[in-house]
Amino acid sequence: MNINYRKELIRLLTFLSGLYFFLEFLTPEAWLVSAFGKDFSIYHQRISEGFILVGAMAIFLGVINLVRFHAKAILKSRKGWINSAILILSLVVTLGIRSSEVVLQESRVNALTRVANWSKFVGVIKEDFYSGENKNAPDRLLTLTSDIEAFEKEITSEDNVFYSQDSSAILEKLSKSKLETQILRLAYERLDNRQISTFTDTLSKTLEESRQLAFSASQNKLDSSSVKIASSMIFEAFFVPLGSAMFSLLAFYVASAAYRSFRIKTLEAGIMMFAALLVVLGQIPQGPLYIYSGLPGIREWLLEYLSTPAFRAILFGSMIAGLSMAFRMWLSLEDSPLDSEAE
Amino acid sequence: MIFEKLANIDRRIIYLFVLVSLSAPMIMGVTLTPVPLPTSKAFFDSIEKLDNSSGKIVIISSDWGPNTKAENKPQTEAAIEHLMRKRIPFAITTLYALAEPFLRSMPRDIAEKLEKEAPGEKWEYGKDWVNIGYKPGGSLMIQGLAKSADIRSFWKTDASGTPLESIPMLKSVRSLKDVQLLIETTGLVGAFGQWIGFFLVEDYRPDMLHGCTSITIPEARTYFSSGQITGLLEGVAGAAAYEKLLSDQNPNRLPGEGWITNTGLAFAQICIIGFIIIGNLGFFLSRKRRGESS
Repeated sequence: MNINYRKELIRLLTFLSGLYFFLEFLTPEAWLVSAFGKDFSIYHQRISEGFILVGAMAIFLGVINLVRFHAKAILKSRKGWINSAILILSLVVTLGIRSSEVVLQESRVNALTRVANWSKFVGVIKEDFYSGENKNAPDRLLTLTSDIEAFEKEITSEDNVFYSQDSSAILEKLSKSKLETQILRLAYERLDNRQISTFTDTLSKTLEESRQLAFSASQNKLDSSSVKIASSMIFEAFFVPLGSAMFSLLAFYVASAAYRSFRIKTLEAGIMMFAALLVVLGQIPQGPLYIYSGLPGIREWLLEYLSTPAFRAILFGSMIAGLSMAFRMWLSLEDSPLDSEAE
Repeated sequence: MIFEKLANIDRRIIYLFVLVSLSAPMIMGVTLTPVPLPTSKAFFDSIEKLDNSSGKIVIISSDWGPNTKAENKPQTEAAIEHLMRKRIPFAITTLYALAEPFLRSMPRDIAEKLEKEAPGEKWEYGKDWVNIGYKPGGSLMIQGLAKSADIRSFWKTDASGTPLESIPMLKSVRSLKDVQLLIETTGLVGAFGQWIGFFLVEDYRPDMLHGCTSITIPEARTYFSSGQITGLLEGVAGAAAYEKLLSDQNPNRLPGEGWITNTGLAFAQICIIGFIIIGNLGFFLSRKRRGESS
C-alpha cells in the first residue's frame, strides 16, 4: 500500500496545531504557570507570532500566482490582456512605493533608537558607577559626547532623516546636552554624589527633549518626502474613491431590486415589506420627513423582539455548523486539495 | 397600459432619482435632526462614565476600509471626538490592512477641529492618543494581546516605529486590566465576534462598544441585547444620533459627517419607498385591469 507521507505529515501538523490552541485556550493560566515554572504567555506569544508569519507567507504565494496568471495572459495576448497589464503595473508601482516607504521608515526608526539610547546610556553609566561594575564613567561620557558631535554633523546634511526646519532647535538642544555632559563628567571626576545625581537627571531630561524634537522633525521629513506623498496619493486618490465607488453601486442595485422584488404577491411578502418599511421609516430624521412620532419605538420593538431572537437562532445554528466544520478540518476529515492532486 | 408602465419603470430612471435624492441634500448642506436611538444613547453613556484620571486607556479597533467608509468613518470619528473631549487617552489599531491610512488621519483631523473650537487647548500625539497601526493575525493577535503581561512589549512599536515604552500615555499601562474599554467599528461579518470571544482573561473583561454597518445590525443586536456590549452604533443613523448627543452637550459643535450623510440617506430611502409604493400600485391595478378584461 502506498502511503502519501506528505499528506500524512500535513494531517499530523494540522492536528497538533489545533490541539495546541485548543488546550492553550481551555487550560487555566495558574496550571500553565505551575507546569512550566514561569509565565507561559511569553512562549504562547512567540508561537502565535510564528503562525501569523506562516499566514503572511500565503500573501507571497498569492502574488506569485497572480503574476504568473496575468503575465501569461499578456504574453499570449489573450482577450482583455490590457487589464492584466494594468493590474501588473499597479502591483509593481504600489509595491515599489510601499517598499521604499518601509525602508525610509526603518532608517528613521534606527536613527531615533540611537537618540533614544543616549538618555538610557546616562542612566546605565550612573548605575554601573555605583554598583562598582564599571567605574570609568568620565570616559564613557566622552564617548557619548563624540557620538552627539557626530550626530550634529549628520543632521546638517539635507539627506538626513532629521534635517528639516526644526533642525536648529535640535542642534540647540544637542549643544546644551554636550555642555551638561561635560559638567557631569567633572562631577564624576570629583566623586560628588549629590552633583552626579542632579546632573544625571538634568542631562537625561535634555536628551529626552532632543529625542522628542528629533521625533517630530523626522516625522515631518517623512511626511513631506516624495515617497510618502506618492504612497498617500495611491491610497487617497485611487484606492479610497475606487473602493467607495464599488460599494456605492450597491445603493443603486438595492434600490432597483427593492422596487422589483417588494411586490405584495402573498401575505408573507406583504408582512415582510410592511415590517421593512416600518424599520426604515423609524430611523428617518426628524423634520419634514417625519411621519409619526411613534415610529422609532415601533422600529425598536421590531428589531429587539422579532429580528434579534430570529437572528440569534440563526447564529446558534451557524456556530454549531462552524464548530462541526472546524472539528472535521482539525481531524482532516474534510476533502483536502492534496487528495485531488493525488487523483 | 399606464399601470403596467408604473409596475415596470426603467431601472435607469430609478438610478437617477436615487442619485439626485441622495446627493442633492449633501451638496446643498441640508441637515435634519437625527432620530434618537437607545443604542446610541447607551454608547454615549458608556463613554461618559469613563474615568480620565485612572491612567487606563481605551482601545479602538477600526476594522474597516474604503468600502464601508460612509458608515464606519462617522462612527469612529464621533467616538474619537468624544474621547478627546473627555481627555481619555486611547490607542487606535486595526485588524484590517486597508484601514491603516485612516488611523493616521482621523485623530489628527479631530484634534485640529477641537483646537479650532477651543483655542488654547491642545491635543497631542503620545499624550492623548497613539496609533498602533495594522496588526496582522486576527484572533491570534487578540488572544496574544489579552494574555500579554505587558501590552507595550507585545505591540512593541507604534505605526511610525516609535517604541511604545517612550509613549507618555502608556507609561502605566501593562496588562489587559489597564484597558477600561474597547471600541470596535467594522462592516465585516464576524470581525467583532473575534474581539468578543478572545479579548478577555480569566478574571477581567473590559467593557465593549461596537459600531456596525446597517447590514450587520441583526448580528450586532444579539450582542447588545445580551449585555455583552454596553453600546451600539447602528449604521450611519446610529452615528448621527450619537453626534446629536455630542452636539447637545457641546452647543458650539458643528454637525459631523454622520449627520450630513444620514440626511442624504433619509431622502434616498424615502425615494425608494415611493418607488416601492408606485410599483405595487401599478402591479395591483394592472392585475385588476387584466382580470376585468378576461
